[in-house]
Amino acid sequence: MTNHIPVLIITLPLIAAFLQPVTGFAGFKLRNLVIITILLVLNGLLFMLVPDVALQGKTIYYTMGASDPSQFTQPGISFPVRIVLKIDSFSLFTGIIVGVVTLTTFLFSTGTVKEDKRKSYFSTLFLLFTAGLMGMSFTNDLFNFFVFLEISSISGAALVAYRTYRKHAPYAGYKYILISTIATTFFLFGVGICYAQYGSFNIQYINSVLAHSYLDKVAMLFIIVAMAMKAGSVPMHMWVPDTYAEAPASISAMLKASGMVTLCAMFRFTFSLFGPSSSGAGKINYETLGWIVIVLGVLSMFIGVTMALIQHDVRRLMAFHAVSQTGYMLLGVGVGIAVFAKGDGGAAFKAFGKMAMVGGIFHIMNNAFYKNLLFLTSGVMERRFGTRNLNGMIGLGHRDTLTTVVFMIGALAIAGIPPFNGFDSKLLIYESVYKFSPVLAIIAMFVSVMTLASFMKVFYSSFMGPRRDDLIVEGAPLTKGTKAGLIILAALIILTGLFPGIIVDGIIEPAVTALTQIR
Amino acid sequence: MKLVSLLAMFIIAGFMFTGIGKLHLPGDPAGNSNVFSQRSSEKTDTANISTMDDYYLRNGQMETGSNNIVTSVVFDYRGFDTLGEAAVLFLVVTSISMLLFSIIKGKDLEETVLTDSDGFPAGMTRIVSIGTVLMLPIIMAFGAYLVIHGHLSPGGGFQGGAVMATGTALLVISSFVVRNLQKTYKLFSFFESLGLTVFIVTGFAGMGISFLHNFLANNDGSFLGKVIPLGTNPGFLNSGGILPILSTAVGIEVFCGISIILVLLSRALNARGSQKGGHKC
Repeated sequence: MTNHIPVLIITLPLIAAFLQPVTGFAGFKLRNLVIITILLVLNGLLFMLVPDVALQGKTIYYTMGASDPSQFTQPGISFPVRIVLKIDSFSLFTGIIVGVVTLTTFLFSTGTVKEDKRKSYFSTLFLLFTAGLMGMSFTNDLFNFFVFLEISSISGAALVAYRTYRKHAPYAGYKYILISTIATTFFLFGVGICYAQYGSFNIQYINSVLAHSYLDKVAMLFIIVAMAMKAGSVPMHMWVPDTYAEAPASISAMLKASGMVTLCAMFRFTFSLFGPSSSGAGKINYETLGWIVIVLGVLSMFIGVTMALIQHDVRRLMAFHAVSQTGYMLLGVGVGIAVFAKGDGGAAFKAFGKMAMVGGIFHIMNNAFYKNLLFLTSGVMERRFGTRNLNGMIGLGHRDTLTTVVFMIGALAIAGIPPFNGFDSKLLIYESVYKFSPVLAIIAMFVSVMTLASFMKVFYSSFMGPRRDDLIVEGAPLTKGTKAGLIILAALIILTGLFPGIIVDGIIEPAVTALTQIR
Repeated sequence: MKLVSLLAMFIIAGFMFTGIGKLHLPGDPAGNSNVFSQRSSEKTDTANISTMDDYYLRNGQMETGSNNIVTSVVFDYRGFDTLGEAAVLFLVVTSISMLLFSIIKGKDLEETVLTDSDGFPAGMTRIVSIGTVLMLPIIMAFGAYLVIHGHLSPGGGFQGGAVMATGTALLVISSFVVRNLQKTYKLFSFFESLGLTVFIVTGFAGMGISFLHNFLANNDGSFLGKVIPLGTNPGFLNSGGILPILSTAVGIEVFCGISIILVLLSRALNARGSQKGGHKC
C-alpha cells in the first residue's frame, strides 16, 4: 500500500467531501471527529514519506491508471501519456505545510464556526480546499495543476463568503473569485502555449525538450504572473486585505496557506519547468528574472508594512503584513535565482545564493505557522468584542491568558525576535542578502522593525489596559479544539525556533536541492 | 488609472499577438502528418510515436476497448482530471446552494402552487404545460442514451447529464413548481454525492494496480470487457471496461447538480421578487 500514498493524500479528502451531504445527518460531533481523523491520517502519510524522500533524496512517481504506477513512462515510449504525480523533497515540503495548516485550522474552526445546518457546507468546502492544495503540491502535470488551482480558488471564494449574513462577505467572495479567474485564465494561456509546442502537459517532459523560444518566454510570463497574482505579491495585492478581512478567521489562515502553495509552485515552475533543459538548448536569463523577483519582493515588503502601520482594522492589518512577509520569501529566493546561473561556475551560488534560497524557503514554512496563529487569534479577538476595529478592543489579557500568550509568540515570531522561528529564517535572509547587496538587507531589517512596531500597537490596544467586561459580546470560554489548534501552532513555532538545524537539514535543505537540481 | 489598465491590456495583447505566428496551425500535428495514413495498417508500433495525441490515436481503441477515442482520453488517460472537474461542478453546486439558501427563507421553502379549475398550474398556458409533459420523456431518454453510449458514439457523462438537466429547466419554466424544496434538494443532493462516490470508488477498485486503472477492459467478453476489433465496428455496448461506469456516474452527478442549481435559482428569484413586492418570475 505504501506506493499508493501520493494518490491517497489527494483522494481521501475528496471522498470525504463527496460524502458530506449524505453523512450530514450523523451529528456534528461525529462529523468533526471523522474530518479530524482524515486530516491526521494525511499528516501521518506525509511524515511517512519524510525518511525516504527528504533524507535519502528519492523521487516518487505515481502514474494514474498505468500498469506500473511507480514508473514515470511506459516501456518503449519516451514520454508520459497519463497523469503523473511526483513527490520530491520540495513538493513534500509544500505538502507538509498544507497538512499542518489544515489540521490546526480545522481544530480551531470546530469551536468558532457555529454548529448549524450550514456547517455541512463549511466542512465540504474545507475538505475540497484541502484536496485542491494537496493536488497543487504533488502534481507533475500542468493541466492537472490547473484543475486543482480551480478547485482551491472556487472553494476559497465560497468560504470567504461563508458568513453571508454580513453585509460585505459576499462582495469579498466575489472579488476573490474574480481575481482567481483572471489568474487561472492567464495560467491556462501559458499551459496552452506549452501544449501547442511540445504536445505534452508533463512538467518534467516539457523541461527535457524545452527550446527556450520566444513563445516559451511568453508562456513563462503568463504562468509566473498568474502565480504571483494568487500569492498576493505587490502590484497584484489589492484583493488581499479585502478578502482576508471578511473571511472567517480560519479561512484567512487557509487563504494564506493557498498563497504559500502558489508561491512554491511559482518557484517550481521557474526551475523545473523553465529551467535549463537537459538538451542544453538556450537558457533563460536568470539574472534578469532574479532581479524582477527581488524588485517584486522589496516592493511587497515595503508597501505591505507601510500600509499595515496605518490600519485600525486588525484583520486588514494582518493581511497587509501577509503581503509584506511574502516579500521576504520573494527576496530570499530572488537572490538565489539571480546568482543561480552566474558565469563564475556557481561560486556565488554556493557562497550565499543557496543560503538565501534556504532562508526564503524556510521563511515560507515559518510564515505559514505564525501567520496562521495570528489570524486565528484575531478570530478570537473578533469573537470577543464583536468588531474588528482596534479602537473597540481593550484589556483582553485579563480574560484570555492563552490567547494573549500565543498572540505574543506569534507577534514576536513575525518580527524576528530570537527564540522564535521567524528569527532563524530572517537571519539567513539578512546574512546572505547582505553579501549580494547591502542595501536590500538594510531595507529588510527596517521592515522587520516596522513589523514589530505595528504588532506592539495591536498588543497594547487590545490585550493591555483595564478590564472592560461591558465591551465583551461573546464571553464563552474557548473549546478544547480551538485551544488545541492554537497550542499546536505555538509549540511548532517555539520548537522550530529552538532547533532550526534539524528542520533545515531534514526538510529545507533537501527541498532547495531538489528545486535547483539541473537535470 | 483607467489609462494604466488600458496600457497593460495592450501590452498583454501585444505579447499574445507576437506569439500567434509562431504557433502550429490547427490540425497540424507538429510534423507527424502521417498519423492517419499509418493508423489502419499497424497495431502498436511504439517506435514512431512522438507525441501524446499520436499515442492516443494509435493505442486508445485497443487499450481501453472504447470506440470513442475522446471518451477514452477523458475517462481513462486523463481520468484524474475528470474527477477534478466533476469535483469542481460539485463545488459550484455546494457554493450556490450555500449562497442561495441564505436568500430563500420560510414560506419560500414550501411553495403553494396556484392552480386553475382543472388542476393545472397557473401562470403558463395549458399548451406549454402539456407540451412539457410530452417532451420530458423524450429528452430524458435522449440524455440517458448519450450517457450510456458515451464510449461508442459522441457524448458521455457531462453532455448527457446536461441534456437531462434541460428537462428540469423545462419543468421549472413551465411552472411545475417544486412543492417541497427541502425534500427535493435532499434527493438531488443524495444522488449527486452517489454519482461522485461511485466514480471515486471505481477508481479505488483498480487500486490493486493503480488508481483509476481500467481493470475491466479486454476481459474476455465478461462484464464490460468485450475485446473489440481494431477500426470501424458496429459498436458493442458490453465494452470499454470502467469507462461506461465512470460515464454514468458523471452523468448522474451532472444531471442532479445542474437540476439543484436551476431549482434553487428559480426559487431565489421568487424570493427576491416577493421581497420587493410583486413580479413573480
